[in-house]
This record gives sequence, C-alpha cells and structure tokens, in this order.
Amino acid sequence: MLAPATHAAPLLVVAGPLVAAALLALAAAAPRVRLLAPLRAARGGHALVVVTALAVTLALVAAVPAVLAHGVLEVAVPALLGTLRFRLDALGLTVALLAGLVWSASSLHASAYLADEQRGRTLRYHLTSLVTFAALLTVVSAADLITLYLGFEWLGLAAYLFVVHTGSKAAEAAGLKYLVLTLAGGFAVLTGALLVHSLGGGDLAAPLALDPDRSTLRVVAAACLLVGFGVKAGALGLHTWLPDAHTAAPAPASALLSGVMLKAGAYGIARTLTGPFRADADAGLAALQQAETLGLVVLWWGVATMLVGVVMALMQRHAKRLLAYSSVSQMGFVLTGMGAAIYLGEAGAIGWTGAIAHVVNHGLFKALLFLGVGAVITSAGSGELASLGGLARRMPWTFALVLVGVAGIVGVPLLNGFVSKSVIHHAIDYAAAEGRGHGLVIAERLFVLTTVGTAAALLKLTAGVFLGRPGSDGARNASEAPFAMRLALLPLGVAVVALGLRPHLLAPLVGSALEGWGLPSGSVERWLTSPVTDLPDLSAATLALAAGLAVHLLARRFGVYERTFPAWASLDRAALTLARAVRDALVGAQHVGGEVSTRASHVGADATSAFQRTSAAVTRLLQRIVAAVPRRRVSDAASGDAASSAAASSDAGDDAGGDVGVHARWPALVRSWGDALSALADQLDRSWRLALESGRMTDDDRERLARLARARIQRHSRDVGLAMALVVLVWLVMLGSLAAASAV
Amino acid sequence: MTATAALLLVALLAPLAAALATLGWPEPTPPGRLVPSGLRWRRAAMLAAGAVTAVCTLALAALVQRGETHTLSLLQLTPHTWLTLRVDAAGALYAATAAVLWLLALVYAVGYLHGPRLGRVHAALMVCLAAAIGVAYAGNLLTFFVFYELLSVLTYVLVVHDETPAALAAGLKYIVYVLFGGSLVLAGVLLTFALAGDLSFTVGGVFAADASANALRVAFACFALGFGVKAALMPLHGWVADAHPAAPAPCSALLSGVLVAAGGFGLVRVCFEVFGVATLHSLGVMPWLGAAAAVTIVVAALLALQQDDLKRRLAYSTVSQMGYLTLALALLGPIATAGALVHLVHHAFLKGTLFFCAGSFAHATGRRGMGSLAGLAARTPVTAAAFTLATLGMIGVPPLSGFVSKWWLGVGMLESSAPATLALLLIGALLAAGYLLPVVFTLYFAKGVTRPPGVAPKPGVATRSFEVEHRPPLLVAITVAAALTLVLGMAASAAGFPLALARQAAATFFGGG
Repeated sequence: MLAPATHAAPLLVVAGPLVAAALLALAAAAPRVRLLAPLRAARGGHALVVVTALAVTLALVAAVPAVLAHGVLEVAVPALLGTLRFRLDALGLTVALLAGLVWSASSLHASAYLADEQRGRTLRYHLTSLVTFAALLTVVSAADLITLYLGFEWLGLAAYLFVVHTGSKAAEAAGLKYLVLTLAGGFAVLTGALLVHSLGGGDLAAPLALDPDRSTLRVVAAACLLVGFGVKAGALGLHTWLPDAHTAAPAPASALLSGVMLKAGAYGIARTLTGPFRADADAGLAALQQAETLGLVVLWWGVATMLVGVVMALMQRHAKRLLAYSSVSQMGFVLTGMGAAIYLGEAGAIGWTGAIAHVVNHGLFKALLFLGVGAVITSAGSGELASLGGLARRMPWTFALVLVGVAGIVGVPLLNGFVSKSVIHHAIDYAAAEGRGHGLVIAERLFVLTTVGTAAALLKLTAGVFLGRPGSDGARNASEAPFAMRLALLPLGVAVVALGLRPHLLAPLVGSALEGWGLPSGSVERWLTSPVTDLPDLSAATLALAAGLAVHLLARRFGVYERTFPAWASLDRAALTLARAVRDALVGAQHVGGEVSTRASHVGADATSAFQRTSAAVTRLLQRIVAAVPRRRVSDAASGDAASSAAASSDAGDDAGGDVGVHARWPALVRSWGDALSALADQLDRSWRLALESGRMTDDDRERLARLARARIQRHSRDVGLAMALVVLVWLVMLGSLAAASAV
Repeated sequence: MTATAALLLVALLAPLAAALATLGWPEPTPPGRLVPSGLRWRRAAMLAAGAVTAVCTLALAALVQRGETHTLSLLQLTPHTWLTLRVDAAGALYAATAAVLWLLALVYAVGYLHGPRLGRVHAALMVCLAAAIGVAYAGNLLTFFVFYELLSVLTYVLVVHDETPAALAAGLKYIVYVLFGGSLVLAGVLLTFALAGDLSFTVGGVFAADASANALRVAFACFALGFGVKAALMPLHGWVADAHPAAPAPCSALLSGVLVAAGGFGLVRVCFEVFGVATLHSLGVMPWLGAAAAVTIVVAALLALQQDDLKRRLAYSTVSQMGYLTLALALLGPIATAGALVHLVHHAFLKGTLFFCAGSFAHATGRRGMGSLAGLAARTPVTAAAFTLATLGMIGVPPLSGFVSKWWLGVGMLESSAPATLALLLIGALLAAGYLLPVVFTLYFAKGVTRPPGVAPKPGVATRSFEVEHRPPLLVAITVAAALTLVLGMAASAAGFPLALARQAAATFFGGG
C-alpha cells in the first residue's frame, strides 16, 4: 500500500493554484500587510502564477512513477453530498501534465502580454487563470461524476472572465454566447450525472449495468453527458461559442482555452465512454449494442466536426479565428478516434491510443500557435491576415517556433501531429475493415480530406502572417516579440519535436490508462512508433501536404478566400431565429396571461366597488332605521338588524334597566361600525386600483404620490386595523363554534 | 420540566419578552445625542432575544438528531384541543432556519432601519419571530393555525413599514390575500375536525379509512389553496411581487425565507401528518398540486426575467423556487421530500443574502432599477461578491448550498419515476441564471449608466456608498449569510446540518424512522 500522503497528491495539486489565488487576492485586499508586498507588484503577480504552474507540473511529474506503479492515486474528502472523491489515473495525469506545461508557458507569455494592463485587470486575469487551473485539475482528478461536475462548472464559469477580459463590445457578445452555451452544457452534464446516479452509477471507473426496463433512461443519460461535454469540446453544432471566444480572449488565454480547456470536454467524453457507459465483454448483448451505437454516433459526430471545422477555418481572415476553427476540426479528430475505439470494442485500444496522443499533441501545438499569433498581434497590432504579412524577417524567432507548430499540426513526419493522426487513421481503417455496413469507408475518405484541408488552412495562416508583403504600417514597423513571449514558445516547440521523435514517451501512460479499462496495452508502443517507418503512412502524409499546398494555391488564385460564407448556413443565425421565435411565443403567451390577469384584477376591483356601494347603502339603511326607531325600543331594533352585536348588547341593555344614556350609545355604535365598514370598502377599492397602477409607476411617481397622500393614507391605515379586528372577530366566533361542536 | 421543554419555552418567550421590552424604552432623542439612548437598549434587547432563540432552536435541532422528541401542552383551548408544542425533525429544521435567518435580519436591521416608527416595527419583528417559532413547534393543527395566523397578520406591519402609498397598497393586497388564505386554512381545520374529530399531527394521517373521499378532497383543497396563498403557488402569488419590494430589506429577506416558507411548511405538515401518504395517493390530488407547482416554477421565472426592480426580480424568484418545494412534495417520495425540506433551508439563506445585498445596493444608490447598479461592484466590493456567491448558489453551482438541494430534488424526482419534472428543475435553474446573472454583470461590467458623460459625480453618491460598505451591521449580516451559503454546501452531509435533519424528517413521514 502507498502512504496516505502519496494518495493525497491529487488534492495537494488542486489546492496549489487555489492557495496561490488566495494569496494574490489577500495581497490586493490587505494593502497593509508587509509580508505580501512583493505580490502586489505586477512582477510579483506574474512570477507567482508562473511558479505555481511550474510547481504543479513538477509535482505531477513526480507523481508519474506512483501512478504507473499503482494504477491510481485515490483520496476522498468528506464534503458536499457525502464525499468528494479524487482519483488520479494515467489518463487524468496525462491531461494534467499537458495542462501544467501549457499553463506555465501561457503564464510566462501573459507576463509580457499584460505588461501595459491596469493593475486591477491583471489581478483579475491571474485570479481567473489560477481558478480555472484548479478547476481543470479537479476535472482530471475526479473519481465520480459529482466531483467532475464541480470542476467542470467552475472551469466553464471562471473562463468567462477570460473571454470578456478586454471589455470590448465584441468580447461582451462573445462572452454572452459563451456563457449561455456553457451554462446549458453544465446543466446537461448535471442532468446526465443525476440520471447516472439514479441508475445506480456515479463512479467514473464503474460501468453502469443495463437494466432492460430503464434502458431509455440510460441512453438519455449518455446523450446528456455527451452534449454537455461536447459543448466544451467544441463538437459540431455546439461549437459556435468557440471562434468568438477564442478571438475575443487575450492570446495567452486563447492558448489555455484551446490548448487545455477544450480537452476538458474531450476528457469528459472519454470518461463517459470508458466509465459509466463502458461495455465489458461480459456486459450482455444489449449493453454491447448500446456501446456500439454510442461509438458510431461519436465517430460520425467527430468526422462531421473535423470536416466542417476545417472548411470554416479555410474561410477565415483573422488569424485567431482561423486557429479557433482549426481547433474545432482537431477536436473532431479526437472524437473520431474515441468513436472508433468504442465501435471496435475489445480491439479499440488503438483508437484510444490515437485519441489520447492527439489530445496531448494538439494541446501542445495549438497552444504554441495561439501564443505565437499573440506575439504577432502584440508586435503588429492586428490579427487580420490582410494587414499582416512579411513578418518572417522581422520576427525570426517567433516565425521559427510557429513554423514548428504548423509543421506539427499539418502532420509533417518526425513531428508529433503526424504520429497521432496516423494512429487515428489506422483506427478508422480497422473500424471500416470491421465494416458492419455503417459507411465507415466514407469516414476514412473524409478523414483524409480533412488532413488536406488542415494543411491548406495552416499554410494560409503562415503565408498570410509571415510571408509576402506587409499589409499595414503596424506589420511594417513590427519588431521581434519580447523575450518572455519567445521563451514561452520554446518549451512547447521542444515538446512538439520531442513527442515527434520519441512518441513512445507517451506509451507508459497510455498503456496504464488502457489497462484501467480492461483493454490490452501491449501494442501501444508499436502503434506510436511505427508510423515513422511505415511507408503508407509517410506517403499519405506527404500527399496530404502536397494536396494541401495545391488547395491553398488554387484557392488563392481563384479568389475563394475572398468569398464569405452564406448567411443562411450560420448556426448562430439559426439559433438566434429559434431564440427569437421562443421569445415571441413567450411574449405572446404573456400578453394573453396579462390580459387574463388584468381582467381578473378588474373583476376584483369591481367587486370591491360593489362592496363599497353595498356597505354604504347598508350604512345608510342602518342609520335610517336607527333614526326612525323610537329611543326606548332601540335595543329591539339593534337585536333585529345587527345580529352580531346584539347578543352581547341586549344583556348590557337589560342590566342597565332602560337607562336612556345606554340606549343612546347604540345608534352611535352602529353608525361608527357602518362608517368603518364603508371607509374600509373605500380604502380597499382605492388601494386595489393603486396596486393595479403601481406596477406601471416609476420611482419618481411613487415618491410624488407618497408626499401627496401620506396624511390621507395614515388616516386610512386605521381602517385596515379595524378590518383585521373584524376578521379576527369572525374567527373567534368560528373557533367558538368549534369549541361548542367539540363539547357536544 | 426537561431541558427540551425549557428550551422550547425560552425560544418562544424570549422574543415576546423582548417585544414587551421594546415598548418600554422611549423613542425621542435626547438633545445632543445622535442615537436615542432608548433605541440602543432596545436594539440590544432584540439582538439578545434573537440570539437566545437561535441558540435554543439549534440546541433543539441537535437534541432531535439524537432522537429526543418532546410534547408540551400549554393551554386548553377547547375541551378536545390543547395549545401544544412539540419538537420533531421537520419542526426543528424550520425553527432553526427561521431563528438564524431572523438573527441575521435583526443584525442587518440595526444598520438599515432608521427614522420614524422604529418601535412599531421592532415589536412586530419580535412577535413575528415568536410566531414563527410557534409555527415550527406547533404540536397540532389548531396550534399551528393560531401561530400561523398571528405570523401572517403581524407581518402586515413589516410590509407597510415605509408607509409609502406603494407600501400601503402592497400591505392591503397582502392582508387581503393572506386573510383569504387564512380563512381557507381555517375552513380546512374545521373540516378536518368534523371529519376526523382529531386535530393532532399524526404521521400517516388522522382520517379513518372509510372517510368520504370527496369530503377529504374538499378539505385538502382548502388546505392547498390556503397554504398556497402563502407559499406563492400560482395563481395565488399576487401579493409576493408587491410586498417584497415594499418591505424594508431585512423584512423582505424574512418574507422570502420564513414567511413564504411557512406556507410550504404548512403543506408539509398537512400532507404528511394530517392526510398521510397513503390517503393522498388514494385521493389522487397530488398531480394537481404538482401541475400548479410546475406552472409556478416556469411562469414565475419568466416573469422574474422582465423585472427592472431588483427586489421584484428576487420576489418572483422566490415564487419560482417555492414551486420546487411544492413540486417535490407532490411527488410523495422520501428523497424528494428530504430535498424539499433542505431546499427550504438553503433557499432561505440564499434569498436572505440576495435581499440583504439588494437593500445595501438600494441604500448606496438611492434607487432600485437595474440601471442604478451599473459598476456598483467597484464601490461595494464585499456586497457585490456576496451577491455573486448567492447568485451562483441559486443557479446550483457546486459546492454551494443551492447545488445540494437541487441534487436531492433531482434524485428524488428520478426516484419517484418522474423524469419530466427533472426538466422543470433544470429549466428553473437555467432561468434563474437568466434573471440573476445579468444583475451580476451589471454590477461588475456595466459602465457609464449611473453618470452621463461630462457630468460631475454627485458628492452625495460617493459618500453614501462609502457609508454603506462601512456600516458593520450590514456587512456582518451579508458576509455571514453568504458564508453560510458556502458552509451549508460544503458540509451539507455532516451530522447536524440541514440535510441530516431533512432526511430524518422525511424518514419519519414515510414511516421509516
């Protein structure tokens, strides 16, 4: 057994960024504390974030041997709904390591990117960064769906501050879209978690048994989880937040969004597929069939995502938007790999190998590209491809490092992207060869097409930014990026090359993850290392590159890039139309409802008016009767007309033995009750109408009315007191009858 | 006399004593003094009584968890019915919630309520507290009714405190609605007595098996409509949206957290201890109640979206959230019921925080519209942070308390095989995000609305907000309430927390414990 301290590692790692965030916040909130003075300086803040990210990365590296030796590190904290359970296994550790590296680089980059930023906003950026980091680490070290949801929700909500960081109108719009989709996705995950829980699951390592009676519920649960995580992963149809948000966010934050946070979505889908909805060989036919369908859905969803993403990327004119759509496309690769893995079932290890490797690889080169483009934007002042160009000579270091990233993503052999794409390609090939008539051969063709498109899109980016002639004064006067930015690009570039040359570095972690899911891990190393020596793979990659170059040149020659995408095809527009329709329907329904309630209120007001008139009439009648009755016979009249007061009064009258003074009080009493009643009715009527009006009044109107009416109102509030007394009296009578009834 | 009985009596009598005492200290300010000396003593007495009550109710809750229950008959009302107090899990839960929220509201009120008519509102606050405690610990239907009506009627004083026309109109609307509801409840009580001859709270119901189903349905309708008025069940919710904005902020918090909840609590008592689960199943009335609750959840949330006055927005939010409670009750499942009870508690503190913050904002700007909140976070950072936390709690973001109750409600709904209601729960939560998050954005990100460009800042505005964030009572109440949101969430499953009591109560109602 491991020492408990080792098992608590995931917890300590999650706590690290939170402690740093608390320190930063404390330093800002308590300006008198000397000890925290260094953190208040801009440099101190930058340094703290970088050091935290590095420390977390080192801690994670240190945890690798323990995880490999024992499979998982587990710890449970009593909190929330019982216990929050954390479990760090190889898959989580892989994503966490990627996150640590990207976060370190991005924070370093941010220290230069945010150099001119106000202090408050820099602080907000750093706090957001640390909280999202902690949330992400929670996601990847969660052992059950509740803990996962906890991290996922905070990851999504906190990253909102990244999107709106610049405060521009575009950022606000992007933020709104991001938030709506994130919240909807979060609720989908929550629904899925609830459903899985009610089906008896919840642990991310335990498959959910298929109960034939509730198999629909199981499907719904899987769909909810896929949709919820799909939003974050940028899966087709749910990806619309992604281009806007990535473009609006500061470049280092875009690198985090694209490099790591999208992976949280993919990670969630992977956990869904390998946890609750895993179908082991002995799971029964129904469960196996459900799993196969699930795999097929994810596979096709991935293919559609990667194809649409790359086409959209080709059409973009802003460097960050192009990269964002490319991210959508690349996440499609990951989804495709996972779908193929599930579809292949027992033989799916190769799909998982490709998907996990691609998660890491894409995280590395896409972060590198976003940081590089961020450096360009800092120097040249714009991200529009039209106003850039010719920066290769002005920013040689940045160019070289970005080129490594581009080479990685388009799949140049000896770099990392080539490896993972080839493995995913093999997985699709196997799935197609398995061929149960699901058109997977077409999926394989589309995969190849996407690879070509990726090459074309990234060539467009490189050519637009670094080659040709500068398109603006900003680009003409650009100089090399600050040292910190270039330094931040370096580790990512090194990692891209290293994982290209030595892809089997990933093999132990991937193998350990596969073993955790009961899949064979023996061939992982071979799958990862073979593409470099495999002739078909090499030739396919070369051909794709050549075709990509041809596509790019042709598209430029024939002005395809100048075309805009037809508006009717915009998902945003469709969503907006739908939202407007819903809003209109609601407004219409509300109109009807308002009409009904206004009518009802008027009926109420009419009723109070009628009450007022009746009570006034009754009062007059009473007064007339009282006036008409000779004084000596008052008590008889009272007992006849005002029954409620008669019972008590006649005794009093008899006791007084015909005293005229006592008799004389009766008309007055009756009159005062009558007056009170009509005053109450009057007040009720007026106030009811006032209440009808007050919904439409402004504060000023209310103020004015208040001044005018205070005196009158204070007089009338006595009437309300009287009314309350009346009702209480009626109750006392009713309670008395209750007592009488119970006595019988 | 046992310790339980002593605690019960102290919890009930301490506020009453304070109410009497508040009448004793004179109001007028001696020359040369800012705060009337009498006022200072009166506030001390109020806070002391509030604290004593809170401690007693918490102690009683702890005792209940150890399995102790106690019944204490005080006074014979009729030959068959006594004024009886009793401590059980559900009652202890509601009492502790009411007392702790009340204490926070009293602290807040010390910093918030100024000006004339203080004596009246202070006395009303204390008597209302006693009434709420009475409602919680009522041992039979008649006792419940007496305290419930006392609470309802006296709340009028809290609603009309400002005596503006809007407040008085809202007060009148309130009293008409509540007296109407109260009369229906009374009719229900009388019918119950006529049908069963017994008004005690009995798990499993008091009615004989051969009682006429239609008569029982009528009785249930009386209770449902009567308590529905208080629990803001649509279409009986009309008073809520007017009374909350009209009342001063601490009273709005109490209206939402304790008063509206009293209606829900009444429904709990009636459903499980007057009718009983089996009877309700056979009567088939619960789907109707559930349908009304479903409409309430969605429609009230949609209405909340459109309100410009922050307190009106929060009031409609309360209507929507109380719909959850009724909906969960209507499902008649043990987990759903536990979820409903724990939601009652968590919602009270969340909404309390929100109303406290709304009061501070209104105080800082002198206005209530959403526009006046623009960029206010920079001037009231603590209040804005608390508001944000409570907003996230209302949406149900873990690890805040709102998530815990939503989770239990969700699990309960699925356990009762009603997955469709789960959609309602989530739509409600999504709409909650829709009507509360814009407020947060306005606080933090909106700019330039409060002051048109080129106009110099009004000198008064800055000093006012300065004053608000430097009024310790307001800040203390807000921070403690917001901290409770986090603590109740993080430690939800710990022994002695609301969830444990709610589960105990639900187990009792369903005959398991």
